[in-house]
Order: sequence, then C-alpha cells, then structure tokens
Amino acid sequence: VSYIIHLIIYFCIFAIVALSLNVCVGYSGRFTLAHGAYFGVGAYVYAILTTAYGWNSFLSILAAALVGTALSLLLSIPAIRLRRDFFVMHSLAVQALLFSALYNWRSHDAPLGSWRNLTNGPFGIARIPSPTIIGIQLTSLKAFGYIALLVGCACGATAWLLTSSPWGRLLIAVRDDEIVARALGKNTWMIGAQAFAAACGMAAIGGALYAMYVGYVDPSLASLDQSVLMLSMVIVGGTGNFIGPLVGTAVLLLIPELLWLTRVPGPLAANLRLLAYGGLLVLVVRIRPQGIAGTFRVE
Amino acid sequence: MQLLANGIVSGLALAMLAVAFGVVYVPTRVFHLVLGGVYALVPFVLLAFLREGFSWIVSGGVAVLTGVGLSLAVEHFVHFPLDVRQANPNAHLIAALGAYAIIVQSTVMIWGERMRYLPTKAGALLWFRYFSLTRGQFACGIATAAFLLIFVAWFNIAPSGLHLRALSDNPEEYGLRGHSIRAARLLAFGISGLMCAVVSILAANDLGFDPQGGLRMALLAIVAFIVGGCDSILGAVLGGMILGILRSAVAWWAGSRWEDAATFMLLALFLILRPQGLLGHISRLEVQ
Repeated sequence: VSYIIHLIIYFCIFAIVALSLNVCVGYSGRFTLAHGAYFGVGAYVYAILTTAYGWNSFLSILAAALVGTALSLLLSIPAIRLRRDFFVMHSLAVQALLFSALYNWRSHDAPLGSWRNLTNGPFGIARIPSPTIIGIQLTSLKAFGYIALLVGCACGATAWLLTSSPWGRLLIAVRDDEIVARALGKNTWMIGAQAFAAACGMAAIGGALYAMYVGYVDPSLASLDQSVLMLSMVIVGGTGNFIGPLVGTAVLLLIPELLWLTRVPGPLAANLRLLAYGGLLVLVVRIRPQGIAGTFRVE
Repeated sequence: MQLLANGIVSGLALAMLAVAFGVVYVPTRVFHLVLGGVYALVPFVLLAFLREGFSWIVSGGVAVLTGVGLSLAVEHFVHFPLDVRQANPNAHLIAALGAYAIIVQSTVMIWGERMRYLPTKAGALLWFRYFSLTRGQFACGIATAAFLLIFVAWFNIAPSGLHLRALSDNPEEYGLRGHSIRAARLLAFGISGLMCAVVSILAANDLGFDPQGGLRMALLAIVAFIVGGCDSILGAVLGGMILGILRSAVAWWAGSRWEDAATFMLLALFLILRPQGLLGHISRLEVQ
C-alpha cells in the first residue's frame, strides 16, 4: 500500500508539472527547456521559507507559485521577438542561469536563507519540516498522499478551466496563426506572457510539493536533465489536450518502476530508463507527432 | 597573458565545434544537438582501440570514422525523414535530444560514467616567454587552428563548399537545378561529425573525458554560433574565440563555477539585443 501511495504522490507532482508545460508547448506552441528550473525554484522557495523562516507549509506553496510566476517574465519578455529554435535557446539560457543561481548562491559563514547564503549551494537544503495543519504535524505517508491529491486536483482543475475557457481558445488561435490573432486586435504577447506565468507558477507548486514530500532539495532538481524529462512526458503523452500529459506522466513514471520490478540492477536501470526516454522521443516524433493521446502535432 | 593564452586555446576548440554545428545549421536549419553525443562517444572508441593494442593512427581513424558515421546515421534515420515531412525545427530539436540520450546512455552502459584519460603526456608544460601551455593545450590550439583554416578555405573556394552555401541560400532552386539535396545534406553532416570527432579527441587528450560532457560542449558551441552570427561560418569562429576568452576571464576573476552563468548571460543578452549575432545580418521579411 505504501508503495502505491508513493507512486500516486509522484504521479500527482509530475502531472502538475506536465499539465503546466502542456500550456506552453501544446496550447501556446512554444517549446521551453526551462521548466525544470522553475520546478527547482519552487522547491527551493518552499524549503527556504519553511526551514529558515518557519513559514506555514501552505503559505510557502503559495509563495513558491508567486515567485515562479514572477520569474516567468524571464521567458515571456523575450517571447516578443524570439521564435522557434531561438526561443528554445533562450529558455535554455534561463535554465542555465537559474541553475547557476541555485548552485552558487552560497557563503559558508552566513546562515541559510540569508542574502549571502540563500540556497546553500551544491549542498542543498535538508531536514525540511513536514507540513502542519492547525498545529498538527502531518508525517504519515497517507497524509502526504491526501495533500498531493488535493493540490494535484486543484492544479489539474485550474489547467482544465484555463485551457477550455475562451482564454484557452485564444491561446490556440495564437499558436495556429499569430498574425491573424493580431489582426483581430488580440494582444498576442500578453496572452503568451499569461500562459507562461500560469505554467511557471504551476511548475513551482509541483516543486514545492516535491520538497514537502522528499524533505531535501538540491540544485539537481533544476538541472537540464529535469527539463528534458518534463518535456519528454509532454511529448510522449501528447500535447494540446488535457489527457496527453497525464498519459505521458504515467508512462514515464512507470518505466523505472517496471525496471525495478524486473530486478534490473540499480545503476543499469537508471541508464536504461534514460535510454528508453530518448528512444521514445525519437519514435514519437517520427511515428506519432501528436504523442500517445494528444491532439497537437509537434511537427 | 596567461589568461588570454588559455582563452584562445579553449576558444579555438569551441570555434571548431561551433563551425561543426554551423556547417549543418546554415544549409539545413537543423539544430544538430547529436554533436554532443559524437563528442562524448569518440574518445571512448579511441581508448578502447588503444587498449586493444592498435596504433594511434588506426585507433584515431576508427574513432573519427565512428563520429562521422554517427552523424550521418542521425541525418539518415532522424532528420532527413522529418525534413521530407516538412517538420518544423522543434520536431528536429526533440528528435535530436532523443538521439543524444540514446548515444550517451549507450556509451555509459558500455564504458561506465567515470572520467577517463588518454595515455599521453599531455600534461607536461611548455614554457613560452609570457605564458605556459600544457602539451595537450598546444596540440589542441595548433590542430584546431589548422583545421579551421582548411575548412574556411574549402567552404569559400571549393565547389562542394559552394554547394553547401547554395543549399543554404535557396534549397528549392538548388534542387530544381538538378543537384542532389540529399547528397549535400549528407556532406554537411559528415563534415560536422568529422570536425566534432577531431576536436573531441584533442580536448580529451588535454583534459580527459566522460560521457556526460558532450551536451554541455554542444550547447557552448551553439552559444558561440549564435553570438558570432547565425548565417556566418566566420562568425562561428569569432563567437568561439570570444566565448573562450570570456570563460577564461570569468574563471580567473570569479571562479570556474560562474563560467556557465556568464556564458548563458551572454547568450540571453545577444538573443534579446542582437539576435542576428556579431557578423549576422537581418534579412528582409520575404527572405526569412
């Protein structure tokens, strides 16, 4: 049972991230390799506020979302001028800069969370406290499961409402023909900026939830590998609708579990997992560009 | 002076990688991220053949041919079929990321993750008047400079170089005039693989190698290419040199941990303020 709950928690965390990335990739039509960095930023904001400042867990999740949303401007401001592969390269630059900030913002003679030692650098932040509700500390796996389900459903509902609203349809219109949308008087930059704000905020919530569950964060959470993994979830599952990212999350989370169940040794399983992700990316782009259950063809 | 010498040597290696990226990007508009995989794999092949008792020439030849073959295989099985379907650059990028992951994970499964070194005396110091270089740095600097000179001359003078430039200017007309687009693309990918393989061996000789370093180098090469100017091979050389010197200066003054931050800050600045790069030009809308 514990194993199943653990899987559900991971599924909820990465489903939030995949659904948010789908807003950028599937609805906005802009590929980003910076999503891992926003996930990492959310995890760090949560870890710093709860560990160094003693904030309430749920306020910290809210703060993580706000910081992620604010930092989304790093992506949306250049979106005015940059298109396609140059936008992807810019997202890569944002990824590298945020990762560098998390990795290097450390001073050994300053307390954690201070301006000089904000992130504790490569050592990360450990002993993140369990969440508390009305003074009761929730330490059991079941409680985490309920919190993950609650936050996951809230984020899923937000993504559903956003993408099925007139705002979502406008986003699709801009993706399919930006010039027509502009000719109809729509502010296409603003709609793109809003999409990135929503997506980065949700990715940060996913990161905060991860930090809450695992109790430890380090800069590898914000690495390029994470961004590629998240992009794989969306591409493999499918983009442009609600179901695709959920399918992608399930598929990419099940691969390591299947390897574990078939008793493939740990280090080999890690390599096989990444090999499978790579193979799936190539296959999907070649054979089924809309992914397993998506509607928007990435080609 | 020492800082400048280090920067120029690493800049030359980056310039060669940037040219390897550019020789594919300019005529095909494909983000050839698989160069990262070639960069990671080739030194392992070289070391494996050396350990089997083959000579340096045979081992180096096989390693370089592996790099060229890999680059051609990716074009044949991944990029060209996508191009036939007129896939957009994002599809090429995703497929390239997937192919890169396959190559690197296969390398890790065969040879392991740990850092390796080639059996040479590349660490011995050579003293010049105002600075010193290791033998590996010296060999890397001389060989990459020679390769770059030969390549730029070939690209600008030889008929086959002209073909690649023609393909980049107007692929439709190039095909209509009876030239094989497929052959020109294969030539571009082959040369790219060759240059990447050579620079990877030179860098491995100087600094050692591990399977995970390839993507980082490929990304640095792309940054150099964008900074130099996306339509220009000479721009790629210039971008590589600037990036090498910048990274060397940052490592000297602020520490090597800030090298990547400075590099990608430069990229972001160029993308926002001067997306055409230093030697690139803004084309008319109908040409875009």
